[in-house]
Amino acid sequence: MGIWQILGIAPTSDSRAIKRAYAALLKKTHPEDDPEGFQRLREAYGEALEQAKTLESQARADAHSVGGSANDAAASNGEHDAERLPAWGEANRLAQRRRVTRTNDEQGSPAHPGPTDMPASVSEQPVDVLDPDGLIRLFEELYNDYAQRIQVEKWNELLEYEQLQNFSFKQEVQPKVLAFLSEHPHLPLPVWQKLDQIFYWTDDEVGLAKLVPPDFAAFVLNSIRQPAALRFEYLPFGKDFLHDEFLSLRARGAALLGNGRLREAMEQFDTAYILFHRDPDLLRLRATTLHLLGEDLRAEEDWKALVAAFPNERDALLRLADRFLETERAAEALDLIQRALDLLPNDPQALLGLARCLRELERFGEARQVCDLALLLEPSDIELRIRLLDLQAMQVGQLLEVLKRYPGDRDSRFAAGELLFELERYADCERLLTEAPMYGSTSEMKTLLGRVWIILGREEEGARCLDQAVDLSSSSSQNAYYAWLHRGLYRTGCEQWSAAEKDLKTAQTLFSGENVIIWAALADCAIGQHHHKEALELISRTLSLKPEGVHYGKRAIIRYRLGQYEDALADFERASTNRSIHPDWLWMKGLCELQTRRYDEALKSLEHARNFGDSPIVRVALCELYLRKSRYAEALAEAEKATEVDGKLLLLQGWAYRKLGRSHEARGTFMRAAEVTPDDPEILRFALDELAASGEASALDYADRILALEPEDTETQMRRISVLFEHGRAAEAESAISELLNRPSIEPFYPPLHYYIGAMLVEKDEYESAMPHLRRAYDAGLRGDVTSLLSIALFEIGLTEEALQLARAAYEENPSHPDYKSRLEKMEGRSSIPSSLRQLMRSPSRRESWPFSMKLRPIRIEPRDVRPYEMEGWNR
Amino acid sequence: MDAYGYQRALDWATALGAPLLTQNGVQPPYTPAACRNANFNSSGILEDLWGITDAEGMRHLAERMWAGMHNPGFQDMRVKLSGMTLAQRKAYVESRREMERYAELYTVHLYMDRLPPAGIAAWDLGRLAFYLRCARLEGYIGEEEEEICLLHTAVRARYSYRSWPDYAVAYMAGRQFWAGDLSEELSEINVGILRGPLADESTPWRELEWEIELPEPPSLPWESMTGN
Repeated sequence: MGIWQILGIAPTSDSRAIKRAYAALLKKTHPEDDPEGFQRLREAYGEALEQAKTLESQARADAHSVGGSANDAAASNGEHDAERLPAWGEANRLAQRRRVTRTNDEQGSPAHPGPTDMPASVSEQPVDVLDPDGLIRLFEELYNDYAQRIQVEKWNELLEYEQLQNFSFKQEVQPKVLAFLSEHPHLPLPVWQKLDQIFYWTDDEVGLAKLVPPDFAAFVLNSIRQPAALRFEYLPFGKDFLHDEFLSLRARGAALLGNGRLREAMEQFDTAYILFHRDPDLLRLRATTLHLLGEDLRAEEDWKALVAAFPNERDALLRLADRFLETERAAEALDLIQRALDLLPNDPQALLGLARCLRELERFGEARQVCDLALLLEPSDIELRIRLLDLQAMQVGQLLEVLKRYPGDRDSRFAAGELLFELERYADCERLLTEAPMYGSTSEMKTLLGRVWIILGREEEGARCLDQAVDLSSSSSQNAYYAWLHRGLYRTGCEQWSAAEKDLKTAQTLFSGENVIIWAALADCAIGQHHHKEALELISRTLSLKPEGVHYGKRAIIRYRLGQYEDALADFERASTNRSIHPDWLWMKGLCELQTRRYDEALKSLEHARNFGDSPIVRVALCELYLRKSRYAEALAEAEKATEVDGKLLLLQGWAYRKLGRSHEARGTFMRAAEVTPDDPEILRFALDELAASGEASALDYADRILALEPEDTETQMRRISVLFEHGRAAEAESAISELLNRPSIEPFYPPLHYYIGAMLVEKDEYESAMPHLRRAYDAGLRGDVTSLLSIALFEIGLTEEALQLARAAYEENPSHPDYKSRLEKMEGRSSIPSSLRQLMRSPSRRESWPFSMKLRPIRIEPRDVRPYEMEGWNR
Repeated sequence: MDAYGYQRALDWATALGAPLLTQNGVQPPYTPAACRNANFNSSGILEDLWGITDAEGMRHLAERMWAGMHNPGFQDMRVKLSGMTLAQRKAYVESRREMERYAELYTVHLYMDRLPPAGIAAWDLGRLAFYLRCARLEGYIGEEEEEICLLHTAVRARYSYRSWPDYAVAYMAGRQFWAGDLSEELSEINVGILRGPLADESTPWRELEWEIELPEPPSLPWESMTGN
């Protein structure tokens, strides 16, 4: 018996007819009474649904009509060509059916085996043990019942099925799930996301692409990530409704809209509208498309229908209000805007609409207040500012009319003047404030006039006027806040920090509440007076009320000055959230990055900052960075650009010369640095090192200056000693060594110093004392005189063999040295005498006379390899 | 149309370039003489920004700007976002904060519902009006060609927006989109540019009504040249 015979209907593509027939037969065929008959019915039902889809596809293809399946839903993500219909869904299904048929033929088993042949709802299914096909059948049942399909929890229940935790089961079922989705794509977003949690498609896009064609893989990924998910719950649940057809049309229309194909999108929406006209998403999409097509009259109808059926659809309320405003129905618009604001208070878009309504209703003052509030919430909104400007211009017109009739109305005069000031119509403002002197001036009017004069370049008169305003307010009962505030702000601008601070603090006492302008200006005063901690507190308070980029920038500067570099960087980051950072701050940001060892970022920031102008501090920092990156030529080029004389920069320049092997220029530059900064021992040392390394007597001057500043500086003393010896000033050298020997310890260990001490002790015949010093110098790698003198010390204390060995080594190393030769000869001549006897023979009158001359071979100490920018005090 | 009406139409068309004229120090009315008095570097502007040194370059720029220079990018983002609800759009735009072109996306999100279908065409058209004046000052195009091009520009603007403030909003939304700068500071600078044209006592934007009657623009000179 064929499937259609079992179902008792003719072959059809109408799945509803199949469902109806199946439902009617189910009432007569109970699984317990007739398990075989029930099984046949289930199989026939499943197969009939499959065939119905094929028939439907063919019919659609024949009729070139649109609709259905993943192709349409794929289009809804807006990133596919809506006309490209991936045929994988159908092809896969047919192939699967062929496989199933073949399997049935081979095994003689039913087409859809499994324990899930219950026609009840999914929640009633026994799901303890399922095979992949059984799971898919449960999916299909859930999908086919629209009321259940849109219940996310039903899918969650099914997808939490234990076997789906099993890797091999998941591997097996995954292709089937994908095949199912290609046929049943209209699922709520959370269901897609749940499937993704199980199969990790978004985490493994490559794996997904191996399983399905690229178009379908893209569709799956976009279905999971779709930012514009449409709602499913407003469609009728009845089985007679063509859910998938409607959803396909809607999805296809949305995709066409996203691709800017508005007319085609409209066709889809209009067809969907015929099927069902109360879907809020369809109405919204259609109205949006109509608006973009300039068909606002039709759009209005959809927005109205939407607002009527769904009074809480905020989008519709706002769009319809826009439409009313454009068509001079401000009162109606106002009602809608207020409803939208009830749903989401302080929404800047709604506030802008409200301001526009109020303006149209000529409630200018309120409109300005609303604009001001909206600007606090959305400071970058240019429309708000333009509308505000427009409002100000209108209000001025109104006030000027009032003044024509009542010229003595000082409040109106001041209000009009302030508006003109804000509109930057300064000449008009001045005229207004001075044209009717017989009515007198208030303190506020005088303040405003002072401000205008200052802007018009009459600064002296302006400043005087501000003083008069303060005096006037103090001597009368007029509001003094305005006068004190503006004089304080003016003085801040003039960098009269202390006076400004006083005025601003007075203004603060006259103002009830928190005042961002005052706090920000007081912060400026504190910065100007180097009261950085106070400035930090003030600007933080400002930010708590008005988190603007400019205030974050200011706080960053304060934090930079307080050495809070990480925090400063975070503030610079905030300050530049909406735009590239202010050029004036860029160099400070670069320095913060330098301080926090973010060298690459620092280099980028500072090179950028350099484009905005020449700055010594930027140059020093850039030079340092180039040196850190071993870009010596660039460092040198940067330093050579300097027109200013800066000790630090000269030091870096000298270092660049040294690294480039230009030692002569390095020495000259270090000496210039020392001249520029005569009291900085760290800079003086660079000059000393260069001079001492070439044995120049002028090194002694630098050494003395350093030692005067830092008497405990052993290394400088050591270089001094070496130069003293070289220039025959042995007595001074010895005195210096004696002073060093009196110290509890001579640290750090400098081999040359031990050499000099040893040499001096040898000269005094104190061989035993000399030996350990010379030994340390020798062990540290010093040779020549060290080797030779050590040999003498060793010889004299009886270590003859080692002494001879060293004496020979010294001679072989430098055969032309007359002392080394004669010392060796002397030792060799006496080495036959036992050492004990030699000791006995020694007396002051019979003291050995060793050839001894320190001047012949002085030790020159190499300059220290200390990078200037690594010095402890570099960042002071 | 009589000579008075024609002149008003031309003044109206020139006033489309008011933001850039103001930025370059030109005082209203924006006559060629006023532009010369402002003494701005019109040749530098054309050459440095657009590589224009002759009539052909100017004509090519006009064609490009009529077709839309920045507006297509804006409109493209706009339609991509238009399928979303406000809440979805806000969440989506927020999720792109760290991505490239976030500022542009945010600008589109901010203005897309308020702008007419023409989007930020005002930004292209307004700049073109100014560049046409520059080209005339430099002698790349003559008075007649400037007028014809201005009228073509004017017709496009006139039927795309409803008022000078609406035009100003679209122009500055375009400027923000182009600059990729959402800062309050730029917003303040932008409004500063518009303060004169919008709020001064006597400026074309206040004296010439938006719904002005425009003559049918004559055909473009280079089209007739091609036709010959």
